[in-house]
Parts: sequence; C-alpha cells; structure tokens
Amino acid sequence: MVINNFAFIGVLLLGAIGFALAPLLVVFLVAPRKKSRSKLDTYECGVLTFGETWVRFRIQYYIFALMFVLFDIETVFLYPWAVGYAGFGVFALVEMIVFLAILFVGLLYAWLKGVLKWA
Amino acid sequence: MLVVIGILIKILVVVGITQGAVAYMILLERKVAAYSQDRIGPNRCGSNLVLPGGFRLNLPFGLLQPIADGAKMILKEDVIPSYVEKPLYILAPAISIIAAMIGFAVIPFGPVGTQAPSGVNFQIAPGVDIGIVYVFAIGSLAVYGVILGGWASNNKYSFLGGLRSSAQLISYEIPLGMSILGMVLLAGSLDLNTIVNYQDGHGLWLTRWLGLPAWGVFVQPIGCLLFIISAFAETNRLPFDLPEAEQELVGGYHTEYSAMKFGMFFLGEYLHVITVSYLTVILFFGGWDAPFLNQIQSDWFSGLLKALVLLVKVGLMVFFMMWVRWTIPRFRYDQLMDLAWKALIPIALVNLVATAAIVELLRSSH
Amino acid sequence: MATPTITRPEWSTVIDPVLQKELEQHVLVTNWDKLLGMVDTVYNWGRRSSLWPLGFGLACCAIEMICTASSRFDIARFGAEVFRGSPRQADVMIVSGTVTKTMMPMIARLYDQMPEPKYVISMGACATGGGPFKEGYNVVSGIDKYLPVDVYIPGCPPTPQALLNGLIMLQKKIDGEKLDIPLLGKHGNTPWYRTELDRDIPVPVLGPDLIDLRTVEIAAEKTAQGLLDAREATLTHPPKIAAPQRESATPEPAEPAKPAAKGAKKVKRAEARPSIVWLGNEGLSALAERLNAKFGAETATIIQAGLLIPADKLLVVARYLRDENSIRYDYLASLQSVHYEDCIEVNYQLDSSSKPGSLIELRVRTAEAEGEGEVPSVVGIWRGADFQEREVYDMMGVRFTGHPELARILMWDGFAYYPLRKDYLEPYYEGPSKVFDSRVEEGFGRHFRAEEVNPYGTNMKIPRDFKDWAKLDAAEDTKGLGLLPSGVNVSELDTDQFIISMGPQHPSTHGVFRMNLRVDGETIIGLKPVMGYMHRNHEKIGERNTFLMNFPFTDRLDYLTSMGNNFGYALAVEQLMGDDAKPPERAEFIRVIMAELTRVASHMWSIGFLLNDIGAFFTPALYAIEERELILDLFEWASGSRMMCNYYRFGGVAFDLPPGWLERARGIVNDRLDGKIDELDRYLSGNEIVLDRCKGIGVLTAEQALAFSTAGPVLRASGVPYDIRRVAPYSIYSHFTFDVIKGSAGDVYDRYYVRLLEMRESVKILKQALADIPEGPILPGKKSYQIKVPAGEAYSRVENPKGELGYYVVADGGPTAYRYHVRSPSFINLTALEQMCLGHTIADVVGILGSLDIVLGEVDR
Repeated sequence: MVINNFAFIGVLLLGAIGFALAPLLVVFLVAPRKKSRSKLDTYECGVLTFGETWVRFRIQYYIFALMFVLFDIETVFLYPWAVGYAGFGVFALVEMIVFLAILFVGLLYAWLKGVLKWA
Repeated sequence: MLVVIGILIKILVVVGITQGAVAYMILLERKVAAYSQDRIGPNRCGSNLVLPGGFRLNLPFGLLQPIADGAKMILKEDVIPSYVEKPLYILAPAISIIAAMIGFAVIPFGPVGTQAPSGVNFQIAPGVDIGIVYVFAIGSLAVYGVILGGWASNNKYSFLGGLRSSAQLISYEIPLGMSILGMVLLAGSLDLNTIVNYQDGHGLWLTRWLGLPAWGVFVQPIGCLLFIISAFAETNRLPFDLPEAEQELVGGYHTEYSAMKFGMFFLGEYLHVITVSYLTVILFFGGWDAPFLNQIQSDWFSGLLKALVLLVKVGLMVFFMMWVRWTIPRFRYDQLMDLAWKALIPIALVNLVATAAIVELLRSSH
Repeated sequence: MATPTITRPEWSTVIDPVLQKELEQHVLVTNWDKLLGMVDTVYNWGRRSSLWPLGFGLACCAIEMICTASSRFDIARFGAEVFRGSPRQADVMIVSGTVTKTMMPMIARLYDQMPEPKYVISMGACATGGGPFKEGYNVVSGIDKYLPVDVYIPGCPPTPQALLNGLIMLQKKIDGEKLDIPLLGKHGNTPWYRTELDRDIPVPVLGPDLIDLRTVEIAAEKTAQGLLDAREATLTHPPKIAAPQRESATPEPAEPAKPAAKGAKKVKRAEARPSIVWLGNEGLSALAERLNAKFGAETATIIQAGLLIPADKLLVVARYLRDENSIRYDYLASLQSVHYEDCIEVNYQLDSSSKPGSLIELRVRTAEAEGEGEVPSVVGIWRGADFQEREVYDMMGVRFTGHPELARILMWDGFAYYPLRKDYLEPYYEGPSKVFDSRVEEGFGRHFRAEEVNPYGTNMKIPRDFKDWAKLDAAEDTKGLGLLPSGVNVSELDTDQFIISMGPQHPSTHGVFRMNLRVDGETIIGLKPVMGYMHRNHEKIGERNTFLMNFPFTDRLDYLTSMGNNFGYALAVEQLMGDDAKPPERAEFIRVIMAELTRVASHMWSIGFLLNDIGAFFTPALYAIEERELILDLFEWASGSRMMCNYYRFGGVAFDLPPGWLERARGIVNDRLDGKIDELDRYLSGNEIVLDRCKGIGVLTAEQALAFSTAGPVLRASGVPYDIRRVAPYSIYSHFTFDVIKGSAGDVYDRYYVRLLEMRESVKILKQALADIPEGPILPGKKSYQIKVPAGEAYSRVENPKGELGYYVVADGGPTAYRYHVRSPSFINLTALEQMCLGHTIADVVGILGSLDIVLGEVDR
C-alpha cells in the first residue's frame, strides 16, 4: 500500500511537471519574440553592468552550510525519538538531553567564535 | 483500478483547485493590500464586460483580474537575456512550481482516517506515514528554484537575492523542523492525520483544566510561534522577503525573469503559502476540528463540513500572512540570520526538552 | 452545354435590417471574420486589464504618479498598481517628467529591456515636448524624439486624474489592436509579431552632446559645415558685466571709464549685504583688519559687504576663520560662482554653529578664460565643499587644486562645454531674456518651434572640431565610469568585491539618483553618488527668465515643497528691492502658513517613504499621503494648483485667500493633524523592526554634520540646533513660539523622529498663525508684472523642509538675473552619504538615503 502511495506522488509529480512546462510551451507558441542587443543585455537599473557577477564568495557561507547540515541531521535524529518517545521512558529523556546539550555547546562555540556573525 | 481513477481525479481536482486558489489569492492579496491602505483595489476587471451576443457581464471586486493577468503573461514576450546560464535559467521557475505542487501530496484537505466518510480520503497519498518529513523535504527543494534562478540570471541583484535566499532558507529550515518536534512527541506520530486526531482528543491537563481544545497552539504555544515565524521565512513573506526585497534588490532573484516564467515564481510562492498554511492549521490549530463538530460522525455531510472548517482556518491563516505583509517593515539580512541562529534554534531546543520533561513528569505522576 | 443557373429566392438573402440587428443582439450570429475578431477581443482584454507600469519616476510628474496609486485616486482599480521595479516584468513605461540627455540612454535601454508588447505613456509637458525646461541644454525636447509614444498626457504636472485618463486612453488604444495571423488570412496592427520590423531603438550616446546613433551621419555633416556657429553669430549674446570693485578706493571713476553699454542711465544699486541676517558692516571691517594684520595687507578687501581674498591666501584664511577666529566659521553654508567680464568669482557663504546668524561672504577671483581658472580647494577645511566645488568645475570650468576627485557632477565627462559661462549659448538659444521673439507673432512673423531654428533639428550643440564620430559607442557609460569606488585587496577566503550600480532607475533611490556601490557580499565598502540625471538647467534658464517669470521654475526645484521654494526666491529678490517690496502683514502670515503647511506635507511624505524604503510596502506612505492630499487641497484652493503653486510674489502673495479657506485650514490644523501625527508616532516610533532597522544606522556626529554642510533635519538630528527660522529669522518667524527640535544620535531613527516632532512644531506655528492672521492687503502696491530690481547681489536663506534653501541672485539692473544660483539642501546633504553608508549593508543604504529625504529636482536642478 505504501508503495502505491508513493506511486501517486509520482503521478502528481508528472502532473506538476506538465503543469510547469505547459505555460512555457504556450508562451513559446503564442508570444512575440523580438531580440535586440540592449534587450538581451543584463538589467542593472538602466546602466551597463560593470565587471563580473559570478564572483567568488566568502567562506562564511560554507560554514553556514556546514552548520545547517549538522543541525538538520540532528533534527532528523530527533524525529524517530519524538515519535517513539511515549514508549521509552526517562532514559530516553536523559539521553536526548545529553545529545542536545552537546549540540548546544557546539552552537555556543560557533556563536562565541563569531561564526554566526553575518557580514 | 477504481482507487487509481479516484486518485487521478483527486489529483486533477486538487491541482485545479489549488491553481485557481493561487490565482485568486493574488487577487485577495491585492485586495487586502488595498484595504490595508485605505484603497479599493482592483474592481474594473470583469465589470461592464460585453460578451458576444450582447450579454453584459458585471462581476464585482475585479473578479476577472487574475485571469486577465494570466492571459497577459502568456501573451508577453519571454525574454531570455543573452548572458544567462540558459538551462538553469529556464529550469528554475519550473523547479519552484513543481516543488510547491508535489508538496500537496500528503496534505489532508479534509478529514481522513477514522473521521473520513467511508471510501473517500481527502488526501492524494493517504498512506504515506511520514507526512511532515515529506513536506519538509519537498519544501526544501523549492529553495533550488530561487537559488538557481538568482544565480543563472547573471545579474547582480538576482545574484544577491539568490545568495540571501540560500542562507535564509537553510537557516530557517532548522527551527521549522524543530518547532514541530513537540507536537510530534505529543502525538507520537509523523502522520498528519494522527496529529489532527490527537488535537481532537484530550490534550494535557492544563488545557483540560482551562477548557481549551488540545490544539497545538495551546499545548505547544512556543512551538507554534516558532513554526509561524519560520514559515514566514520559508515562504519569503514579509518581514522576511529578503530574496526579493523590492526596495533593495529591485526584484531579487526574479529581476531578470519576464512573462510566464516570472508568473511561475509567483504561483510557486503562493502555492508555498497555501502549503504552509495547511501545515500550520493541521499542526497547531486543530486541523478540521471544530468545537461543534462531533468527531465520531463520519458521514458525507460532516466530512464536507470538516473540510470546510479546515479551509476556513487555512483562509484565515493566509489572510494573516497577507495582513502581516502589508503592515510591517522588513528585517535586515544579518538580523534575520541572527534571529534564526541565536534565538529560534536555541528556543526550539529548549522547548523540545521542556516538552519531553513535562510529558515524562505527567506520565510518572499517573 | 450551358450550366443551369440557380436562382435563389429573394427572401433567403435579404434579412430585414431591424431583425438582423435584433438577432445579433440576442443570438450569437457568427462568421469566420467575427470569430477571428473575437480572438482580438480576448487578446486585447487580457492586456488592457493588466497594464503593469515600470516603477520609474523621473521628476515632478512622478510624484503625481505615486499619488495616482494612493488612496484617493487608486490606480489599482484598473489593475495597474503593480509597479514593477524590473523592466522585464513591465508592460507600460510611464515617462513621468523631464527627459534629460544624461538620462536618455538609460531610458532607451530600459525601454529596450521591456518585453513585447510594450507601451509608452508620455506624462506631462516635459516628457511630451520638453515643457518649461525645453530650452535647457540638457533637456531632450520630448521622449518621442526617441521612443514611440502611445498616449500623451498634458499638464505640468498632470493631475492624478489626468494620468488615470491617460491609462484609460491606452486601454482604448489596446482595444483597437488587431492580431496579425497570416496563416488564417487575418491582417492586423500588432507590429511586435512582425519579424522584419525592428522595434527597439539604438541606445543614444553621451558624446560631446547626446547623439542619436540613427542620425549620426547627418549630425557629423552639419557639424562640419558649422551651421550652428553661423546661426549663433546672428543672435544677441547675453551681456557680461564687470565684477564689483572696491568702492572706497575707486569711488566713481569706474563708471566713466567704461562706456555705458546699456544707455547712460545710471543703474540703481541695492544695499550691499550678503544676506538679511549677517555679521554686519562693523564686524566685517574688524574681521578684515584682523585678517590683514595677520596675513599681510591686501589679504581681505571688502567688496560689497564680502571679503575678497586672493586665491593663494584662501586656505590659510579659511583655516583661520574655522579654527582661530573669535566666531568660528565652521559651517560652509553655500559655495557658488559668477562669471564676470574680467574674472570668475567663486564665493563662499560661511556661518558659525557657535554664533549662528553671523554670516559672511568670501570672494575669490580667478581667470575668466575658459578652463583656465584655478582656485585652491577648501574640501580639506569644509568637507561640504566637495560636491559644490565639483559643480562649479562642471558649470564654469574652474579647477580646484587639491580637490580629491574633480570630475563633472551634473553633466558627464566628455560634455564639450561649461554651460553656466556667459559665452555658452544653449542649442536652442534665442535671446538673452524672455519673452523670446519666437513666442510672439511680431518677432519672426510666425510662431516656430526651437527645433526649426537649430540646424540639427534637435537640442544638440557639438563643437565644430569634433572628429571622433566613429568612436561613439553606447556600450560606454560616460557618466558613471569615472566614479567607481575604489576597493581594497581581498584575501583568498573572502568574497570578491563587485560593483553594483544602484539607480538611476531603482525603486528606492527617490528619483533618478544613482549610487555606484562596491560591496563585499552585502557590506558597502565604497560608494560614489552619481547624479545629474535630472539636471534640467534651472540656473541657466533662470538667467533668461525675468525675475517674475522665474517663480514657477522655483516650484519645480523641490517639487514637494513648491511654496517653500517660492518663499526663498521671493526673499532673495526682495532683499535686492529693499523697502519697495516689503510685504504687508497679512501677506507675511499667509506666507508662513503656506510654508509650514508645506513642511507638514513634505515631512509626511518623507516619513512615509522612509518606511517604504525599509520595507513597509507603501502602507505608512499612503496614510501619510492622505494628509498631504488634504494640504494640497488647501494649496489648490488658494493658488490654483496642487503641486506647482507659484503663489508668492515679490512683496506678498499672488492672490488673497479665498473665502472659507481659513476655516477649512483651521479645521485641518486644529482638529486633524495632531491626531494623525500621533497615529504615525504610535504605530511607527516604537515598532521593533523600525527600531532595529533605524537605530545606530548611518550615524553622523555633530562635527561631521557641520563639516559636511548638511542642513535641516539631517543636521539637527545630529544634535546641532541650527534652524534658519531661529538663527537668521526671516519673515515673521520671530513672532511665533516654537521649539527647534534636535536629536542626539544622528542616526536614521533620529532623522525620522526629528521630522515627526518638527511636524508638531509646525502645527504649533500654524495654530498661532491661523488664529492671529489679520485682514489687510496682500501686496505692498499694485499688482505689477514689471519688476525693477536694483543691481546688486543677495543670498537668501529659508528653512525648507529639506534644510537650508538658499538663493544667490546677482542682478545687473536688467530684466533678468545676471546670475542665479540655488543652494539646494538635498544636493549638499548628499555629500555626507558615503560617510554614512560605509560599513553598512545594501539594505541600510536604502534606509539612509530615505532618511536624507532627497528630491532629485533639487539635487540636480
């Protein structure tokens, strides 16, 4: 039955793809197309753009991504724990508090290190 | 076979209704904006329309406005600037709308399970028992639309918008996921139906004592607040609409998009708003639960009524999100990140531990 | 074999026409053509109902365009309130205001970047044909010289109703469009589907003048022929007068030495004083003696109540005045230049924060020849001189040695002339003074347009020796390239810096202002303002206008505060006219009432749009605009126009208040405004996000604020209680009790809050004035159109909502001003922008700019 349900999601996905492509197709068929040099230029408030747009970006973003992965995985761990919590008892609570405390310390460490400071 | 056809019909109906709803949400947004600003808003489109055969159509409230907008967008030239990364540029709005649409698969639009009238499920994929995780997983995909769109446009404003959204959306993903853990813990399931059924039930002693229903907003008030805040950020709504930030970045990630591609970003955004509103209501506002509706009843009439209750609640939530948008200013980028990492995530963690402890306490006192 | 002919019975083809009509009304009678026609209907209906304008405002008209979106007019009813910042999503470009040459390439590019089908509404006289600014050297005489216009809206500015009408007209035009479907044999008028047609226009180039690439060959040919030079030789050139000399040393001989060019009549002279409130003659001679004693004789010579300083001693004198003099002249109020026959004079109005109101004027003279003049730059002493010196360089060609960045500021680098020099004649020049001959029948025998007399047929003037025609290239940004903020080297792990140009078309630059930002991620590490996109030659036109005629032009400086602008100009000329133009008491009251109403209206606007800039999508702005509308109603009732009031006259006002006006004004002031200001205060001042976004952002300390010559709320928010109404009282402000509001932190929040409190003070003044206004005449004598202004110079200062608005007028006894300069607070306040923004983020820049409250008409003039 579960397999079936994911199949439905697959059908919905197909529908969604169709729905996303249909307007593009219609636009392609009916909309006018006129090209000129300045029309295809990058928009930047009416003036020409200077230099590169795709520049190297700072490591800060990478650190945020790392933190995100860390905490997202933590959250994923927490889900089964929360679902099954009713049957686990005090031990589960204490264990999870320890788990969270470790992560929290990690967050605090990052915080104090100034990693969370933007810009 | 019959089930499959039923599901297909359901998909069609849901897709049709949500698309229509989204179109009219844009009109609603414009009307809400207008009334917030002491204006009238669109009211011409659809009035005084002469149809072939001499019929005159007079629709109030600019009811045809979304259709006119849609018609125009389809007939507009679709400019693809020469400096863009073409495949990604075209793919981005499609991702945005596809992700928003398939998120609907597990969302119940009305009573499901024991409360549903027999033979009908107000859900596209009722058997997927990891509902919330699925919604979040798909919701995260929508980020790609924004990021890719921003990057592929090769425009500095778009680029900044895409960059903002990548950081913003991943940051708020965490409090969004954590804020519902309390509810999951209480209901003991990731299945959205079970969570609604839980809210239909007894709740904690405090809510019982106060005579309140066991809605998430009462048993998990902090979780609810965190969820709504993060939901605003995840849907790029003011005060967290930084990836667009019209006053700063002109249009943010969609600056270079024209015609229907821009429209698809728009639709995707509003679809996302609907998804998030459904989630909020189901998780924290009792879903289709209403004080006057007997939960045992599972006939057709009460089933529809419950679906309607859910719809009204969702409508109110959507209205709330619009109201906020036209009322308050926008956070700055670093403030937004601070809010996520330095306030929401710690609070969510504490909330979770506290909930677990209280549940444990209540259980041991029995 | 003959084919049998089929005869139809007659009844089968002929339908009773009445019946036919009846049938068509109630039954769907169709045929192929009609069906095809229905395609058009559907096609047009979608587009007509969803016209999204490009969020793009040029000048005064843009204000009315915004009002069209406000509560009273609500363009949203037509589904057209979706102003898109990006041209990619816009359907209609509303060209709202004067199209300048500096802006034209941007407009062309924006138009090109709009997707088809696209429309252009030309809003207002300027966009349609150049309007009042047509003879300006930097004005394009109508957007239709470049873009195909669909709807023209008359008016200056057109009221919001007119814009709505224009929109309806455009809808009607769209209704008439027919699709071209060759496949079905259908012919129409939708050129955007025709592949052979080129719809986009080549972006014109800023060369020695604005050059249209479509006609460049013709221009080159005519330039080589020297047609314009030949025409200019036939015209009367404006006179040049000699610079004023020391009177005691050479009392009279100067007069006979020069053969009187303007007839023997001796020109009446105004009393010599730099401004109404100033140091005074005794103080000035004492100061001159001190300077001479300290820096040697001939350091300071008093000429017409100003100190003439030799250029080489300027810096030491300036430093002495700022740091050592008993009155510390730490505030450079204004800096301007005059082109005389024998020299170019740069003059400096200085005031002191410790003893405000002791204004003095310094004069420095330099070579008259074009591009030869050199004066030491005082940027090191008063940083506020930065933009003003650049302006003098741009307009007069005086180079300031030691200026850190002496580039053109209003025109572009490469523009061939120094336009405010007396020997520069505009391309459309007709005579030294209006009314130009072409405007009256007798002149040339017929009316003609300026285009007809200019050999190029357009507002263009190119030096005859210009040869680089082939090098003209639209891909070069002549205006902005010279002003790129420099960066620093970045380490390998840091973000590469890039440069964003914010503006000229940007939702939050309050007009066509542009900032070149160098950013590190989102942090600003360099910012260079680029302006001049709205430079419409106010000062040059002011030299052609007769004194009276110039009033309506002052309206269009800071188009949100036309009454206040009138006030300052009236005061400047009244100072020259002396007792001839002393306003009667009622007129003084009316003037103050109007000026204070203007302040409330302008601050309302400013607060609303500051909130908009920090992201509050128009809601506060529209509530603020509602109050402004009520005030505009009062203006319209009294003067006949909402925005461009043209209400003040020398010695009074144009009309008396209409019956009932005072009652209504009292009603608004006494019963409504206080409550509305409270409302803004209640909802905004304590809002968490507003506090987060405004506190500690864009801080300007008191010393910096003074050094940068900022004025008005910006200066006061930094804690300097400098309000011209108090420190140099004009009109009857000394009669009223009100407080000078000052802030302490000098951040965005304080600037916001100072404005809010100032509205309360204005209401206080209004209540007093409306209670005490006497009956009586409104002009000292009879209404007159022949204004005789004695020769002399005057600098008037008024506290406009944006800050100190100064008018520097030099009269030579003729019908027009010899030199006319506006010290515009918006322009000079921008000098501090870079300082305020560094280290903040892009989002803050928008807020900081909003807190400066600039109006581009005044910045660029």
